[in-house]
Amino acid sequence: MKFTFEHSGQVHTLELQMMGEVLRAVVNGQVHETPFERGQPLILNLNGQPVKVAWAKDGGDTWLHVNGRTYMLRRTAGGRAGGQAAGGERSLRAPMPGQVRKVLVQPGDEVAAGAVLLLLEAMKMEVRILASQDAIVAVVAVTEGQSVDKEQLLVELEPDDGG
Amino acid sequence: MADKFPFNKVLIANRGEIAVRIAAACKKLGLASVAVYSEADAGALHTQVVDEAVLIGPAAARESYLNIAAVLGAAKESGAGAVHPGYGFLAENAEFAQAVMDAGLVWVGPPPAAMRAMGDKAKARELMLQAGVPVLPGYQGDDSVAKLKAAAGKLGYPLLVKAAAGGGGVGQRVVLAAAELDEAIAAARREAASAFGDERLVLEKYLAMARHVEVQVLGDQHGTLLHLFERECSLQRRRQKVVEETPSPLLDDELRSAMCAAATAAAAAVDYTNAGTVEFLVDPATREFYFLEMNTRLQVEHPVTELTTGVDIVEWQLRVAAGERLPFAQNDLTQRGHAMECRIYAEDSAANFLPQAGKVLRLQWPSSVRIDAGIAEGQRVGVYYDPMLAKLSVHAADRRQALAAMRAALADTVLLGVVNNIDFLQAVLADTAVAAGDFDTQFIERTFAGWQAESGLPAEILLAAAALELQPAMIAEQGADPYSPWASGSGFRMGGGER
Repeated sequence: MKFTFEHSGQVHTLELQMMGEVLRAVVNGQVHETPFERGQPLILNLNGQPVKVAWAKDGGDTWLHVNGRTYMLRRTAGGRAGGQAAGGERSLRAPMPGQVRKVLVQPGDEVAAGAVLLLLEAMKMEVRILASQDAIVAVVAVTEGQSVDKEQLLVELEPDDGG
Repeated sequence: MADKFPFNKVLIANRGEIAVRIAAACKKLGLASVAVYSEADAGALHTQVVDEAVLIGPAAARESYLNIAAVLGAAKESGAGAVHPGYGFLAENAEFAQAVMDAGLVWVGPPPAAMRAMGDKAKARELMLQAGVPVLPGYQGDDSVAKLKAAAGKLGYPLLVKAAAGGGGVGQRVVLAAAELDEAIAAARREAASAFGDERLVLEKYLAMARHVEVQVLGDQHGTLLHLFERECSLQRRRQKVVEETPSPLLDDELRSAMCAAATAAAAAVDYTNAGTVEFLVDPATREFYFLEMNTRLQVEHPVTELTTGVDIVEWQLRVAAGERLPFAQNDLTQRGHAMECRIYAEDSAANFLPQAGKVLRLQWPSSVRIDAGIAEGQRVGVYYDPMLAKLSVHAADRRQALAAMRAALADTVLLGVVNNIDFLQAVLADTAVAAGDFDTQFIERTFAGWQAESGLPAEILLAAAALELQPAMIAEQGADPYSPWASGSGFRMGGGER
């Protein structure tokens, strides 16, 4: 079956087949085969090289620790993972977990690119959430004082068509 | 051992790794320990390693860890006889220290008068001048624009215009040339007035390439005041230390003894007792050093001093607070080998070091190094407090071996579920200038601006991630992808709606 993951803003796809105790994967046109048994750590064997993988899963997020480095991969749906889908910059999400300190706009407001929409605070740091383009505020998804997770939706904008 | 103490139970007015550290020292001395915690810290590691834990308020620090009445209430309720403040929160609050003593409890720290003297930066500077401790050349006094201009001309550029009441870089301007002075004075005065309600300004020579080197001091209540040598803390990001070591690669014996003597003189000038740290800036070009400030408390990076001197600083904080005499003299203390500490933060090093939160899904510490941790597997890292999670400290025969041991320890640390700076620390320690011991306080900012983890993804990583998706349930369902972010609207992290 086909899997698509996002890592550091890049999308990676691979084809995977389980053949008995052996995994066969195609990554970037290259074929890899490794014996596989789900354990902690996961031990793969690629081209005669054993690789120890410490791992943890949290919903669609997979955390992996290999050779001293940590990776977080996020499972995405195959065809639509390119980020082309409608939304993009129109959905402003929390860049860090924190608390909503101040909400400066309400639905229906016209905002110019760069306008401050709300203030987010975490561990004594304040981050300003700015309008990505000239737009009309469609949705304000949070209220002052609310705690938000990283990536949580804050504001939805509708592009201003200059009407 | 506890029977010669005037107290047998210690309230730890802190959280995280330092509360855990203090609890360990209490245990070593046979003293009972009491933790305090906020609602956000229910079940946190520091509440589990003590004999009892008392809830003192909501998540906001103002209403819990900074709430003097609530902390004192917990001390009374639990029957504690002493209060150890750790660092941060109320540790340098002289009013709190006084309130602890007024409540008939032992304050595990310096006298409030010493805390006040060092807390006022202008007063401290004056005291240090009197005590013969070098301070940066500067000017304080009549701060009319005309007088400041005349003084600046004498001092020379670059210089720093600084709020007299200031701290933390607020009301502070670097002035590179005379032409910029007027504007800098006006801007600093505006900022000082609004931040401190006090628009007085002072001038100080500006050191562009400075090292941060500090000296640990320890005093008892019977007139013995010793130093425990220096710590090199120049590796900083956002003006906050991330790697500390001792001995400093910059110091030779001559500079070391001059700085350590100055540190003890500084502490003696305010009749200091208990543990404290005198911070200096060192100009690597001239090897001149200048008093920066004194931290009247235990320091985050105390483990490197403990590893090289063999003195358990927290244990001795409790002992001297109890009235014991220090049983060793200055000549008994030596630095053995080299120690290094790395601070592990929940932060995104590639995104301006923004604090991060999350659940610790998997945690494996490296073996044979000292771990001071405030987290455990399964716990949530929240957004309310300082994002430091833990410290790794190594001790080896020399600097080269310590550095190698630290790099190995960082590589062996598995911390999954919370974005952290372990990869970044490895990159910093792999730098040749760091290996050579040649850096200053702005080194990280200069060298690692815009740092990103290598974006390449080895095939085995992708393979492992996919293999972990292979579960019977998953395979059966492969038509409809339950993990699709598009299926669930906003936020698709498990537990995303928890708070």
